[in-house]
Amino acid sequence: MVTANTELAYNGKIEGDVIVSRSDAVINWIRSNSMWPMPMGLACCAIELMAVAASRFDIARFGAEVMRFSPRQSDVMIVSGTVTYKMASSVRRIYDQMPAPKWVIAMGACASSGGMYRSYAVLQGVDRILPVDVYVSGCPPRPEALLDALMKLQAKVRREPSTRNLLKA
Amino acid sequence: MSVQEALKSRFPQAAERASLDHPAVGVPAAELVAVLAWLRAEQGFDALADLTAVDWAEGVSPRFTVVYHLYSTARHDYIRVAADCPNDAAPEAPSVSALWAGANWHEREVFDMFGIRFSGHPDLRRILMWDGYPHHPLRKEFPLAGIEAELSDPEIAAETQVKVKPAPMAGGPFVAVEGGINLSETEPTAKDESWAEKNEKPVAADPEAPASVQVAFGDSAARAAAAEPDADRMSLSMGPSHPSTHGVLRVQMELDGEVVIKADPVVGYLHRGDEKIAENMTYNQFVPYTDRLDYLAPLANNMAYAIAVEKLAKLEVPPRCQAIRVVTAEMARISSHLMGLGAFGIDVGAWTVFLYTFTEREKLYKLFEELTGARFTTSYTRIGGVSRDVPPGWLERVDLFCKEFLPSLEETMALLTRNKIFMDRTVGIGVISKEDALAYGLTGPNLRGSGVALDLRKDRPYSGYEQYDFDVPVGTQGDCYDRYLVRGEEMRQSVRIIQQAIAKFPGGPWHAVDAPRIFLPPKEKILTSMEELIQNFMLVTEGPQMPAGEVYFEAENPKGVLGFYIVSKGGGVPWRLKIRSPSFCNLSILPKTCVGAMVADIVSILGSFDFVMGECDR
Repeated sequence: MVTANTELAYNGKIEGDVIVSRSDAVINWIRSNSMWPMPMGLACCAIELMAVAASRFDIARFGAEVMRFSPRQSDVMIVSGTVTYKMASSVRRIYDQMPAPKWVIAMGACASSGGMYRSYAVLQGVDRILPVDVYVSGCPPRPEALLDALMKLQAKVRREPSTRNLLKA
Repeated sequence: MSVQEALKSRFPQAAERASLDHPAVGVPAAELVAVLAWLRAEQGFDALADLTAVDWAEGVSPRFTVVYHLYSTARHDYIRVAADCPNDAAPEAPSVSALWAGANWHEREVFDMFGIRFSGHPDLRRILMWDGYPHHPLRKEFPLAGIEAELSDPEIAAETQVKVKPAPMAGGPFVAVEGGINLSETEPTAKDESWAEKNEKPVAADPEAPASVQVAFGDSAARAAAAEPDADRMSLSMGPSHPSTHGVLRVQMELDGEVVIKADPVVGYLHRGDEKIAENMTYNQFVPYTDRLDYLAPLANNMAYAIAVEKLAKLEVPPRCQAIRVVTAEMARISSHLMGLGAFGIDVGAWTVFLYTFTEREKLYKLFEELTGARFTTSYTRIGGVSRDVPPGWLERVDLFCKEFLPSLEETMALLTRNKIFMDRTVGIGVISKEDALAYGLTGPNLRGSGVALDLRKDRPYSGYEQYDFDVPVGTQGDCYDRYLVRGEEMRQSVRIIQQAIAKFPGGPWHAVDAPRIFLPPKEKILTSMEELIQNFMLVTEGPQMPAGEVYFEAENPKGVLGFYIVSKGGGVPWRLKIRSPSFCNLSILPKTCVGAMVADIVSILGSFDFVMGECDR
């Protein structure tokens, strides 16, 4: 007689010490839950970025509390603030120093599009010098909005063909 | 005998200058230094409050005028001295950096923005834009959108193919433009991205010369020739992305081992063109930009700007409006100092302080949000009033916050005040003498930390500050520790002011009622009455109507003295709006303070200065 399998998850008594899963699922699970930010704090949005990291909003709940000021130890650059032409080269240089895989969140209107600063000194969107994964609207965005952006980025990372990319590299 | 009469009898060529507020004189450029030196020595105008220039447009002669605002720290009054630059094509003015060391940076800024050369300046180079930028943005013929130019870093420009492009004045980057950038093409593919490191290091011409000294300071040619090649010297660039530079400041240092021999702050990484933007919009439209000057205390900036424009319009706001502004400005002061305290804590290794202060800041943000609709970019103040009255019960909640805040502040500061590590890192570090603080134009807690009891809320009360009883804390040593203590005490005094204001909160209107050409009519009237509808339309399209003239107003902001110098030719748009930012002046003393300190002390010094780059770079 065949009985229906009522085990919903991994059971060590049946499978032993082996877990079978797709490598993409495992890699993406690891990557998406330990995204270390590179806080590119440029202007006002950086204050909201600090608020996200602080006690009330607590970005640690999403595995992204390890703010690394060294680009070489970070995964996601959060460009928070106005990117001026004078600063643009430094932003790009820091992005280049981040190891792959790497992602970018453009936090706020200025980083996304120049925002209210339509002027001679301001780069009209950080996407002109580096690729952006998630844009967050707001001037500045509320902390919840940044957390939402992080969750959206995690969802994006979970869909990536990581194994194929790794083997291709 | 008034100052102007005394000045005229001493310098017969001086002429009275039209002004809406302070005494003002115009003098020939050749006599400028003599006049300023005389005002300083004989008339007690010992502080240089502000130095700027005005461009009267192409074709007008004289085209450029340099404007100086002097402040008397004993009498607490101002004088405005203006001098026309004799040559319109290649304007020049004498440097006053020998009189006030703080003039150095101001003159560099005027040179950068207007192209006015200051003869006798020790180190005249650009400060806000980068070296090699071909234009002078505040000249009237320069468009707000900008002119195409090359990026400052040729390496990055070659890699990204990005240029300085005119900003779109309509549409925007999300609107597809012909010939615009195609994102999917610029996406980097799997390629070697360590190109920046792989490039050949520049080879020193002389193999004996140390390769480490690559960065030149200021007018390097002369200095490099004079300096002895010293193998122990290192150059260290701190920032513009560094956790303890509080934003995008860069300090270029020359080291002998661990000791800083020379420090050259590089500012301008957040120069967004606020002053040029102000010349292109109405007075009311500029209010949101004042939020983003010192974005830790937007409510205080809003107030300073609104009062400056109201001085221009000769408008007094009713007592209730003044009280609302005082309460919000003092809350902003607490919020700003908390941030400074938390960041200072992180800088010297005390992470907990940051979490404690942010807990309190979130309470303040909640109150700000309830009042203004935004957490910190509030845009609350209007010319002639505020955007709305305080909601019911809000004052009680502020009062409750004050009660809860004081014990919490004690708890937070107890983590630092007698902390051995904290004291080791701050006591006796970054000492600034009274004389230096005044010469460099330091203001706010940084000045008071050096023992100078100057506070505009006491000395030139505005917005009804004279009704409140509060103390002005001062330091004794002028070191990082004193600046920390002064900020802590200022928060307690702010609580006192808020509590007094709430206890006798005035009733009545919360905006100027007899100013139809300045303050928007109430919304319900706009929809029912023709006259108010027209008023509203004119105000929104043309801006609040101002008389022609000049005003200079300074307010005591959390970071120091925030000044607005407005030149109006009448109408709703300023001809020139200069922002005298406290952080800019405070940072100008860094080259002096940092010399002789250890590298780790720089972190303490920067933390104790509590500057904000949005305001410094504007």
